[in-house]
Formats: sequence, structure tokens, C-alpha cells
Amino acid sequence: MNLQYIPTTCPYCGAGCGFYLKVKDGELAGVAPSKTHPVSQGRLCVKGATAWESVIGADRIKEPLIKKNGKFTKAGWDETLDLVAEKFSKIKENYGPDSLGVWGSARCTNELNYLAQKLARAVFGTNNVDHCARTCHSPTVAGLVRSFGSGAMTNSIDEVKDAACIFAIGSNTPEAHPLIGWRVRTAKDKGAKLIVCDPRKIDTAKYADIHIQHYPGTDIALLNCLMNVIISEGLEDKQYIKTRTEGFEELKKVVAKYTPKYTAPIVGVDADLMVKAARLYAKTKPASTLYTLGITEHTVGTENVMSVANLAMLTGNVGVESGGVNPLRGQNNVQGACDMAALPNFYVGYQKVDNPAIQEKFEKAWAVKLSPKPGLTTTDQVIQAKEGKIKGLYIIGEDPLTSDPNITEVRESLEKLEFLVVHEIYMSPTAEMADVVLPGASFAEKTGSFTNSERRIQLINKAIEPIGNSRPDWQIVCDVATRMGYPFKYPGTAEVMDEIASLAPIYGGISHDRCRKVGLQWPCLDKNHPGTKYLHKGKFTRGLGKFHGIEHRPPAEVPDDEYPFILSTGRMRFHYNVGTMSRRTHLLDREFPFMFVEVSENDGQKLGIRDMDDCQVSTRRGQLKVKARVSDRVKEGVMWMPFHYVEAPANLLTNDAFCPIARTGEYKACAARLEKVS
Amino acid sequence: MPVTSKIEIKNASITKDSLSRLLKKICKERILIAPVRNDDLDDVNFLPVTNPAQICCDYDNTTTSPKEFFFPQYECMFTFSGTSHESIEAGDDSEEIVLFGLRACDVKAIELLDKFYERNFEDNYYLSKRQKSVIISVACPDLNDQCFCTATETGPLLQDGFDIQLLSSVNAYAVQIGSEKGLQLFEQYQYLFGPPLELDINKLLAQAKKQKAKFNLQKVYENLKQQNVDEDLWEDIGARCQSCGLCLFLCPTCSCYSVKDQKTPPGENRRSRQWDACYFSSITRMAGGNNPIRTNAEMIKRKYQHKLVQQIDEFGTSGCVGCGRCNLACVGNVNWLDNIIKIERAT
Repeated sequence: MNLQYIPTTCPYCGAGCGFYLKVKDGELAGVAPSKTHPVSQGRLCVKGATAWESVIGADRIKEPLIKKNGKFTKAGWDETLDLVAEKFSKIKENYGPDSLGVWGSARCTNELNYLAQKLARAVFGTNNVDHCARTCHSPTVAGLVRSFGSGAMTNSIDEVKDAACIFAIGSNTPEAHPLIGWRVRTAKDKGAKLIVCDPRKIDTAKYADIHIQHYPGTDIALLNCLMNVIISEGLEDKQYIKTRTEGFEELKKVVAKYTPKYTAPIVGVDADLMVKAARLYAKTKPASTLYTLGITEHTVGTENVMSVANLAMLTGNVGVESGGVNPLRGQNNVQGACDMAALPNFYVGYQKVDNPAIQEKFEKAWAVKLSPKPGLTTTDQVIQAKEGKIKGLYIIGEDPLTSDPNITEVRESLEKLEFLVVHEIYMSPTAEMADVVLPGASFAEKTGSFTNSERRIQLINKAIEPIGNSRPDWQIVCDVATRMGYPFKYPGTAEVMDEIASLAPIYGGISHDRCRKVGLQWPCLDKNHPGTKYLHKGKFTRGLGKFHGIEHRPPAEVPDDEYPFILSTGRMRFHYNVGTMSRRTHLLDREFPFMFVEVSENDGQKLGIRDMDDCQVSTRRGQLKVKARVSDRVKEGVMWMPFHYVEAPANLLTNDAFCPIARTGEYKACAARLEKVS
Repeated sequence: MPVTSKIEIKNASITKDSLSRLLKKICKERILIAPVRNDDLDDVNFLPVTNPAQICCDYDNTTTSPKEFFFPQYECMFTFSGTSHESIEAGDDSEEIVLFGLRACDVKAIELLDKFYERNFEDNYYLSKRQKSVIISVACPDLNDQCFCTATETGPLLQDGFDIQLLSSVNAYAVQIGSEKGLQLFEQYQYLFGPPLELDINKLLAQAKKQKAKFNLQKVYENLKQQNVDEDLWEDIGARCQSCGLCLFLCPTCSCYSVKDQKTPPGENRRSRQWDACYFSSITRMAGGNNPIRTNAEMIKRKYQHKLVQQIDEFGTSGCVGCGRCNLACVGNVNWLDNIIKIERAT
């Protein structure tokens, strides 16, 4: 018997729990928690506890696949890589470098993402590189950079438990980030005050001191109202505003209008409750603000983020232990993929591509001419593919045909491509459309690092051999680059991280060896730097924190007679994103095997729809037949759907209207209709 | 064949040096499973060792329970191809193993699992592994703040139910042999053992019993059986439980599993089983969607009833052995020990 416990990092959400993969005689055989890991501390959520099964499905892609006459045929690596290199080279030659795009992946390692953006920039010659943060937290990066100068979670996960007040808006913390939900529960058990703002009665709302159940898409109005009360009652932190911030007068002018009486009908919440919440929040310090995609996935996503930042600065809660503005990142390595510059406007470590000195630095390091022109986001790559301007895409570990809003449009765009390469572990609707499918190795089959939501760089360790003929993704990217005439030669992922450290000041002191035990939190400037627990202590990254006066704007699509509901979408505890891994995990899929829509009891009664009835949800973009779950969980006039079901994808319905700054889609609010199906 | 046959307890001793030699010999001849501290993270868990130097001696108890050596988290039961079969032989990958360093609570847990897997029908996947195993347990020096074996009468010293039990003394261990399997191992390596120490084991047992029990098990049993517990407790725990199942995966006596058939191309199929948990609503949900356990509160109540009433009625021993592993595994801060004390104080 050969049983091993291999320490590694969970591949699901951005909390970044540590656990052991059990390996028995060379096969994955379970997961064990770690009592000493700083994030998980002996605990795991149900997805972590079953994570071993997610990557050993019998239908793993085991060989490279080339589409010939509309059908995939198995091919050898040499033949496939030659074809990929030849096609991309030809498109570059025929249409120019900006006709190509690379999608890195928040599911993959830092090392992969670094190499993917290097492939785009140094080999393809374009800054058209981005990744799935575009569908989630790009407004966080854009918004917090404008407010604070740095677009990351300000404080550490374990600080949440010691907050005196927790203000959670648009975050279903216990389901989407269970190990951060644990800290919320612990803080509450220790006597903290809890304010939850969410259109649904989520678990934290049930034990909150105040639950504000506002309409999706009215966050700015709500936040402005809270600030209006705080300022009118003189509860703001005057000293902090004076010494640490700028732009207060502008803010004050804008929020003056948002009195509780004015705001109540917009947000659908009792005016007195908002007054109570504002007072409780302003008087209880330190207050930790938690938010996720309920804030970002709107056409006003970036402005939502800046409004959250406004409120925290107004009360002096940024740059203090157990306070801060804490965007909880949704994917295991979405922080790292951003850090690694799988983004169209930055080099690794948030160094701007249109800064000539930075460009020169990277041209020297990579010995190649680089483009000074910021590239296209994934959103705009899809749009430009439809217009025939993007001809070739290399998509790594992402399924936009399930995860992007209005997938009918996405399909039409991808159909226009001359060449699509998808790099995946299981077939997906997007992979089905590809010309070439490259089988990647999962988190259990390779080495590398993930950066969690609190900026902690942690290692994953190889537990089993790559399944079938799959290969670690970083090696595949190296092979493509090398065959296109720019050799990527790295003995292993540790050396890739060494190169990252040499180029990104915030990662300057990072190495695999230093991250082996419990990781390191960036900024970590040199080999002796201990890492950084929380940001903006004493001084914001940008110098002074900046207030922005922001007016409320409704979602791009609001209810009307034809589509009288607001439809919102999100994640649940037992599944993860497009379900590639969780739907293949026996215990997870058994728990929630089918798609549904949550409806309020009053709405159910009005429409004659009972719990578990078959019904149809329609929007201007499509319709889905699903089961109705009727309860008091969701606000009247609002419907909610998960997006985990590839056979009934919620994004057939969602609106492809985008935040003009961050280009993130409005997944959280569109107009919809509900009908009973007999 | 029973997994173990008790014998009248035989006493001996072994020096720490000789124990090291014994373990070295066992490593060469069989598979030795012992507590090992991970190099990167600090958890101690039972793992196969090839050299006694790998064994960690400084531990309260392991993070995971040793049940996985008999009831693995994931196990292939058999593979088959084609679509029609009269019968398929069950797979048996069991090997001769020696487990060293188990605490009393875990030995008692395995004793309970033995009874469970022998009742109604014999589960050969479990029993074949148990039959080929010998357990050398080491009595705990003390209780930690989360464990409570004195209350569940499952430690820190065992009176029976062990193969070989070691009790630490100054430079040696007092050795007790309590089963046929233990005796066979002892006889094979008898030259390494010495005569019984002048250590009054009965006195140690009496001392251990005097350690303050954190609750009165009988009172807990009665309060649960007579439904004396306020429903609010179940509501509170039910609201806290996030159905991750981790506490039950860590529990050394939890024995639920789910069976899954999977096509493993080309042409082969695999039936496997894996740990399941009664904190998943789908474990009791019926095909039409109806669930006899309607709420989280009912689900939680049933768990406490099962461990602390039903299993006592059925097996005569507590279904909770007081190892305390579940206490610090909960994202809802459900502490099993605290709740048992609340149940005890219900009347």
C-alpha cells in the first residue's frame, strides 16, 4: 500500500484553502484538511472536501484533438502543436498581430498566466490578452485603483473574524466563500455587528443585525443614502478625511440628494432601516466591508466599487486592521491571473503597457519589440470577432459559451473565427467549437502557484501523473511559443516564478521555496520582505484616497409590462461556476442535480406557481424551462438563478450590456418574465 | 472469520530502544502505518512508513482518523466490462498491515465499526482489511481541551478491545496483549520484549477513570431519549451547519458511503464507493423529491440521536468516542462537545 498526503491549494474559490490530496497507489483517493493552514485551519467547504473527484472524471480529454471535416480526431502532440503554431503564425502574417487574442485563466497557475501573456505580447506581438476576471472582478481592479491606487483585497481573511462590524454587500459569503463565511460567523459569535445588503435572504442575512433587501442594481443609491445619513448626522471620520483623502466636497455634494426618503422607493427598502444601518456602521469600528459580484457585475460595476470605497473611507476604515474594503475573489487564481497581467493594459505587477519606460524594461528583458497599444478585453475580443477583426483565439481553461452573458451572441462571434484553440481538461460547449483542443493537466497533476484573495501566493504540488496524454498547461504554452520561433525555455515552474519576481516589484521577494509552507502575501518586495498583511496602512498606494461623487443609474434593462421581473444570477455552495468540476463530483451533483429559478412566495401565488412546478423564464434574449423553487428567500419582483448548468445555461437569458470602464457584463440584473408550464 | 479474538490480557514490557527495533523489523516484513508529521504543513496523520525515524511521537492525535485504512474515502469495489453478468467477484486488495500509535478512542471507534460492518451482512471490503491488520495502540498521556474520552468511556487507557496496548513509563513501555492477533505478533518478536514492569495497571486505570469526565453520558442519553432537549438547540445547530460533511468524514465511527457506477472507457466499468454524510439532504431525499428529513434541525437531531442513543442501544457503547476531531472542523462553529454539555444540562 502506497498512501501519500500531498499538501496543495484548493482549486475552487479565491479563499485559497490548503488541504492534502490523498494519493493511493498513484490515484487520487480523497482529501484531508489541514489544521495548520492559515486560511482553512482544519476546515473545508463541501467542494474542497470532495475536490479530489472533480478532476478524475472518465471523460477527461486525454489526447490532443484536431477537427477535421467537422469532427474531432485524436492527434499526436507534435502534429497538433505544429498546426497551432503554423495557423497562428499565418494569421499574424496575413492580418497583423492584433488579429490574435489569448485568454489566460483564473483557474490556472500564476506561471501559466505569466507565460500566456508573454506568448501574446512577445510572440504574437499584441496586448490582446485577458482572462475571466473580465466577467467578475475587473471592476474591482478598475475601481479600487481609482480610489486607493491598488485593486486588491485590502485586508487578510483571518482579520475578518476580529472586525467589530461587518458590512457585506452583494456577497453570499457562506455559499460562495465558505471559509470567509466562517470568519463572519465567528465575528458574529464574538459579538460583532453584522449588516447584510442583498436582494435575497441568504444565510448571513438570517443572523444579521440588519438585513437590507434592496433591488438588484440599486447599490449606488443605497450606498449614497448611507453616506448621506452619516454626513448629515456628523458621524464621518473628519480627521481621516482631512489627512488621508481628497474629493470629499464632491462626494458630499452628490450624496446630499440621497436622503432616506428620496432613496427608499428606488431601492425598495424602508427609510428607517437605512438610517439604522448607517448609524450602526459608522459607530462600530473597525468595520470590514465584504463584497463580491453583486457589486461588480453591473453596467455600473466600477462605480459600484468606488461607492463601496467611498463609504469605507468616509468612516476611516481603510488601512486599519480588521477593517478595509475586501473584494472576495471568486476563483482560485483570479488575483494571480490579474497580477500576472493576463490583462490587456498591464505588464506583470500592474505596470502599464503604454508607459514607455516600462515598455523598454520588458523589451530588454524579453529581447523583443513590444506593442505600446493597450489590447482588447475578452468582451471586446468577442465583439470584434463578430466584426471580423479578431481572427484567431487561444482560450485557456474558460468556457465563454456558458459563462458570458447572452451566449447566443457569443456563439455567433466564435463561429466567425478562422482558428480557435481551446485548452481544457473536459469538453465544454466552447471546446466543441474549437479547431484544436489541447488537453491540459489539472491542479493535481502539476506544480505551480495560485494567489488567493488576500494576495497570498501558495503552491500546488503534483500529486499524480497527468491523466492520459495531457500535459501541464505551462509546458503547452512554452511549446507553442517555441514552435513560433521564440523559445520559452524553463526547467520548471519555479524558474518561471523567478522570472516573474525579477520583473514585478510586488512579487520581488517571491520564490517557490519561500512559499512552500504557508505562502507569502504581496507586496513582497525583496527576498527578506515578510509580505504584507493589509494595505494602505498610514498612506494609500496612490497617496491620498480619492472620493468620487457618483450618481445612481439603473441597470441597462429594467422591468416593464412584458418582462416584469428583475432576474439576477449567482453561485451556490454545492456547485462552482460552469460546473465543469462540481457537476462531475458525485456528492455535489447529487445534492443539486438540476437547474431552478428562485421566486418569492407572493409572486408564486400571483402566477399560480408552486414549489417544484415546471416553469419558463424568458428574457429578450431567450428562454429556459426550469423548476421553480418558491420560498421567502428572494425579494418580491426579483428572480434568481444559478449559472452552473450547462444543459440549461442562465447566460442564455442574461444581458450583454457592459460596464463601460471595466467591460464586465450585467449578470445581476435584467428584465425577465415567468410563466407556468403545464 | 471474526476480525479479532480476545484473549486474557497478558502483560510484558518493551524498552524504547527495543520498540524502535521492533518497528524496524515490522517495516521490513509488513506494511507499517504510523503517525507522520507533514514537512510543509504541520499536521500529523497515519501514513505508511518505511523507517521508524519517520514516525512522529509528539502528537495528541492525528488530524484524520485511521478508519481510512479499513474504510477508505474512495475505493474501487470491482470493475466489469460487457452488459450481462451472472456474478462478479468482489475485489480484495487488502494487505498485512500493522498500525502503530493509535489512541484509545480510535481503537474503540474501530471496534464499533467492526460491529457495524459485521451486522446484517458481512462487508468484506472492510472485514478483509481488518482481518489482516494488527493494532499497536499507545495510551494518551492526557486529554486536550477538545477531547473527552473519559466521558464516553473510551480512554485514555483501554481495559479491553485492543491487540497490543502500550503505556508509557520512564524509559520503557508497559505492554498489554489483548487479542490472538496481538499475541501472534508478540510471540514472533518475543525476544524484544521484557518482563512486566512493576507498574500497577489497575491503579493507572483507576487514576484515568478519576480524570474528570466532561459530561455524564447516561444523562445525555436520557435527555436525548426522552426528548428533553429544547428544539431551539437543534434549530441553532441546523442554521449553523453548512452541510460540508467534513465533521463526518473526520469522525472515526461514521460509516456511511455512497456507491457509484462509472464508465471508464474503453469498454470497462467501475463500481466504487466513497464516504457519504447524513448532513447532505440528498442522502435521504427520495426519487420524487420528498425528503423524510425535512429540515436541517431534524437532520442534526437525528445525528445526535444516532451517536448517543441508537448506537448505545444497539452496540452497548457510545457512537461518539470523544476524539474531538469534529469540534474544530466546522465553518458554522458547531462544537459537538459544547452541544453535548448543553444536552446534558437540558434537565
